Amino acid sequence: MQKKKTDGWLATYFIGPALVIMLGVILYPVVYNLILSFFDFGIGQTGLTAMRFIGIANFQELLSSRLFWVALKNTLIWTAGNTIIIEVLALIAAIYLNKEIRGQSIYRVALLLPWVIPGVVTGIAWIYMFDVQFGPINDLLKQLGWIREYVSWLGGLGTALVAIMIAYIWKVYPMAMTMLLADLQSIPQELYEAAKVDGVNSWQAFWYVTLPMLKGAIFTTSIFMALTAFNSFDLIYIMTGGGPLDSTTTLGLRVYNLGFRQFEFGSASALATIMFVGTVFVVGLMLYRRLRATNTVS
Amino acid sequence: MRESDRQLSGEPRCTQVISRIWGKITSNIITFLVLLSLLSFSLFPFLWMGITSLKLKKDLYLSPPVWIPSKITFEHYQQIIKIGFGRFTVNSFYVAGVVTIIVVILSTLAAYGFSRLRFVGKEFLLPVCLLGQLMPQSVMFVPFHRMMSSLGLVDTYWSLIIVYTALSLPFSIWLLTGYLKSISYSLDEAAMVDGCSRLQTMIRIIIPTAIPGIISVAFYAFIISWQEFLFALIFINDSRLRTLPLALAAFKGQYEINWGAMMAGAITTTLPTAIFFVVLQRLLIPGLTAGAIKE
Repeated sequence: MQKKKTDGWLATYFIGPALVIMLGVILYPVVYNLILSFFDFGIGQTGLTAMRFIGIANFQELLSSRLFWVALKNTLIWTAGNTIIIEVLALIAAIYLNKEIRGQSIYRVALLLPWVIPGVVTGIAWIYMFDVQFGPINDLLKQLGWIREYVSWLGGLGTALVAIMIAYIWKVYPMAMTMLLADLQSIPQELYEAAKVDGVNSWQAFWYVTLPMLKGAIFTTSIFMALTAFNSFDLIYIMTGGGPLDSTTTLGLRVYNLGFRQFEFGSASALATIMFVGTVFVVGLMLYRRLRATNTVS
Repeated sequence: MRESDRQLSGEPRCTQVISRIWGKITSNIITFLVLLSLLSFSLFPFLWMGITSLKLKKDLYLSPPVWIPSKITFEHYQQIIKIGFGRFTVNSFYVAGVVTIIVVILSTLAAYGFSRLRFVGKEFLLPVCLLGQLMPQSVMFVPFHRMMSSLGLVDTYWSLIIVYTALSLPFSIWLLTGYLKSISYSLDEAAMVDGCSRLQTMIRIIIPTAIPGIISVAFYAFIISWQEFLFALIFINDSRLRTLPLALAAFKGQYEINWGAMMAGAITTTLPTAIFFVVLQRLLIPGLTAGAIKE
């Protein structure tokens, strides 16, 4: 049989359709968005306004608006807070799930259930759970004696973001746990046995064997979780819509408001571009690190 | 204390055994407690949603809330069907179903190409796929809206189908490519020696072997489409075309205080994916994590 140099043409048929859709539906918006950032475009009183090139005016306006910095702060708290707590929780869950040999698959299914339900459902369920008067959380906390009065979780300036974060963590941590569990299970038993012969207790075994072996997985899942959190929108929109008083408005939510509440497409695009640059930067960092890791001989 | 030291210490054997057993029991108890807490944390909201959806109207607005109602009713489910939830469910199934079929076909083809064929730019394209997965959705709002507007696709199912397909493809291709790479090439060679074309090889030999991976992809695409909210919000204005998440959100706006009906709606939206997941989980979890480890 003849060996062809490349399967170029054949590949086009196989990969073509998928590629076209992905490029068209993902690349095109990104480029369009980039370009639109430099224009003044939106819906005014008389319908669609004409597109007017205004250079970096959108960006200047954004960076000088107080709301941008508030949204940025919220986004950073949201992203970093969620990622850290999710990683810790996922790690604990993965470790203990790994110990339980018997009902393991049952536990896994049950713990993964929050992840497969729609974000909207999560939001609605947790809104009710956090309800001031009728919610079980307030009731439980009061019965435990942890609070004296019912707390308005989603109405309070400091508590709203925390409440949504709890709902988000509840939904997303199973994914991180599953990834960590997979890596955890691939750690060879011999390492633990060798450690045991040296007389380490279980805490030391964790610190000196488990953790180093998991470093890569923890890093990868953290990046993945951070990016997912950065991009998330559903939960915040459903639970508070950005309030109260913009205390839960993240950058993503701001883009939505700019584009579909205020109908300023140019500004919305500009903010989206800023978010995009941030994402590319982080992904680039991750790829660079992986490239370096695979190129050096360990 | 080293094992060998212990043996030499002269400590009676039975004490050693007892303390070891005691240690084991404690650690088992701790494991059980930790898992129980996690389980309660994860499952409690479902319990709450279910109970609420069956509560009598008068039990809904009690402060402190009733944990275990004495009587249950199905009136909330009846109410939401009257509002149109049956229709919304069909809408969601339709969109998710079409997307799943398209994604399975396209991603299998693409994954076969990435795992078996040689061509220019191959190493480059797969990470780009992944980049697409990590794109902030915010970047896509405005362009998509303009694009669908000018194509006249606003308020049609196709706007959703196209977007959901594009959203599910990157991860699906990546997952399936990883999976296919683990299937030995000798299978293909055997088939091709027997006279199969690439396409026939793929259909007859590789696909049957890759079923778990394909099911994972199908499930992933279904979930993404089923639960997607944002683009549905942007594209669909006609209330008859709403998918379940959209209906639920709109419902919340109107009937903010009718928790019974809302929870009934929530349960309805949750059940299909939850059932699929529980039934298929044995196949899915290995498939979902296989891609993760390979990286």
